[in-house]
Amino acid sequence: MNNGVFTTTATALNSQRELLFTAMGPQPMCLLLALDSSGTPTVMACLLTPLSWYPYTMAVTIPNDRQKMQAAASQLGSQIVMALPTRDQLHQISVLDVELPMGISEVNAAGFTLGASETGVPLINECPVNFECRVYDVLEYPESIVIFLEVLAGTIDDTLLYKTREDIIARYPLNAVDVIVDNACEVRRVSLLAELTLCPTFPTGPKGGWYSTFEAWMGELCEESYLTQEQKHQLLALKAEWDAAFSKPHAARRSEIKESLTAAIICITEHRWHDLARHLPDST
Amino acid sequence: MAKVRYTTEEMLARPSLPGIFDPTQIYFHFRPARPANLLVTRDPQSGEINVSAGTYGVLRTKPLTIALHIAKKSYDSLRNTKDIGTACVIALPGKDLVHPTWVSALPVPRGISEADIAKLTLMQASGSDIPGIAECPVNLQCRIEDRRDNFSHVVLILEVTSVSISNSFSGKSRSEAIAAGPTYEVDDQLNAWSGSVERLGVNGELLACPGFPVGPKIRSAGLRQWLLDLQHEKLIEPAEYDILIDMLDEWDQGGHRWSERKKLRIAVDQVLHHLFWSQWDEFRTIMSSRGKLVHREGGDET
Repeated sequence: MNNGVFTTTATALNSQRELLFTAMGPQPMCLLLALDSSGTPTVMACLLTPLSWYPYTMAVTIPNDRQKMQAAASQLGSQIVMALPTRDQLHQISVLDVELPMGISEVNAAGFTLGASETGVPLINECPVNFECRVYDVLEYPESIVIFLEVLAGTIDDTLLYKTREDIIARYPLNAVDVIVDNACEVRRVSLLAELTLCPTFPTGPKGGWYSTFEAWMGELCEESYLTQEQKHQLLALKAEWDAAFSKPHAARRSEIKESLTAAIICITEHRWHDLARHLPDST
Repeated sequence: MAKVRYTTEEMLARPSLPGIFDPTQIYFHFRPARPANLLVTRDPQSGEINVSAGTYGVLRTKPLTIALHIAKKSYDSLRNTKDIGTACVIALPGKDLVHPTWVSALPVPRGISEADIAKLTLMQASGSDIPGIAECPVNLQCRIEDRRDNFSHVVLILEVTSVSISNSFSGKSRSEAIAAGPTYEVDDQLNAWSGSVERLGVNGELLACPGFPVGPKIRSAGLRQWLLDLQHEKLIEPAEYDILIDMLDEWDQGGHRWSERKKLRIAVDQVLHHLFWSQWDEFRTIMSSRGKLVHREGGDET
């Protein structure tokens, strides 16, 4: 149990890497590939942050010590390839920690080979998934830039198409976990997801999942005979009563209504159908 | 092995595969799992606490700054985070909190606390009026630094101002810690009504990328420091180090004819590849011929 004391300040995080990695949690990694000003492919490993699904957008951070990549990626409209590395590419990830001079490609140093894409920026053949992306926004910090990428297309190795999720997560994505010091040398550690757990589903929540409404959920519970028609109406009436009381903090029965509605919803999420009636208003 | 290409439209339309029932199979092959969080905010009108589930990513570490993407259909979270400077808490749930994490995302009426529904304990924090969640081993107290409209989502950029870490972490190895949490949103399965059932995961195996001599001792130290590290550890001779530095200087200065520059690039490419992969014999073969070349050119000059 967390003791609730926010003792670690942002300044302390800066100086205690162990705590920083705990606070961050492992973060999904990708390889970023762009063409430098000489037209030579440059690659680096970085963290990726998904931002939206429709369209599919992601953000990645490029530190100031990756000057080739910053120059290649900081212009709006720049074409970038984002590739997902696998557990077989740990050596390559270490190689990519070093930016090579302009015109010398990290691709060769890492032993990657390149494939054609429709945007002109090559794909990394050895990575199972490559995204062809376009830079649509840039956020500047003193020590880095964050580029916002829109995915235009994705390629995947055909051998993976029929793999189960368990098979896929045993290969990629890699999550950056921490950097430890071993014998005066830094070692980057990564992880793969393993255990999968299904969240609850109807009747604990709406049939369709999260993005539904309370009214639809109650309707579905009634359709499937978890609630009687009367209970459904009582619940909707209780919700209407709460909606009316919500904006009146001093309303006489506000806390009582809130308590009843909360208890009724808990009964539903815990499937305690017999207890539900105790928390519903008298239908008369 | 061939690569199959999908445009974004095709990818998002959830392409089907013959013989595979799950229409999300390929879609989620393209969508990396993201760490899950619970966002704790306060309703500006009623003062009531709202908890919602989502995913986050790290943008920078000094100061720790994270990005949240909030769907525009998540009305409560959006309304409670509309002002820059507003405080909020990001709590990272462990794998023992799969049920409460999911329950906190149910469509309950505004003002009804998801924490109450999920039976999560709100813990008051000193210096802030936004509580953390006691059952979550990590709670990040944050301040909204920026808010960007991003198509179907709003992106919140949050600066972490302080952190509460459970003492359950003390004595735990990193392997044990990451196996306990945070959880990750991995994919959706379909229920009997074709609705989505989220599937969460946690990290398993911890893998070490090779350290020095594959790259510098300090990972961000750069190419020339790495060569110096190699020399200090006697993996390359001082003379070899000098030749390497000469090659890099020559490359950086440019000014050669195209054909000479191409030769130099190939040599630098090969040498660095051999060094990164500890192929010392191949490296020495190139160094030796390069040394003779430098020696001969030097001799010509004198």
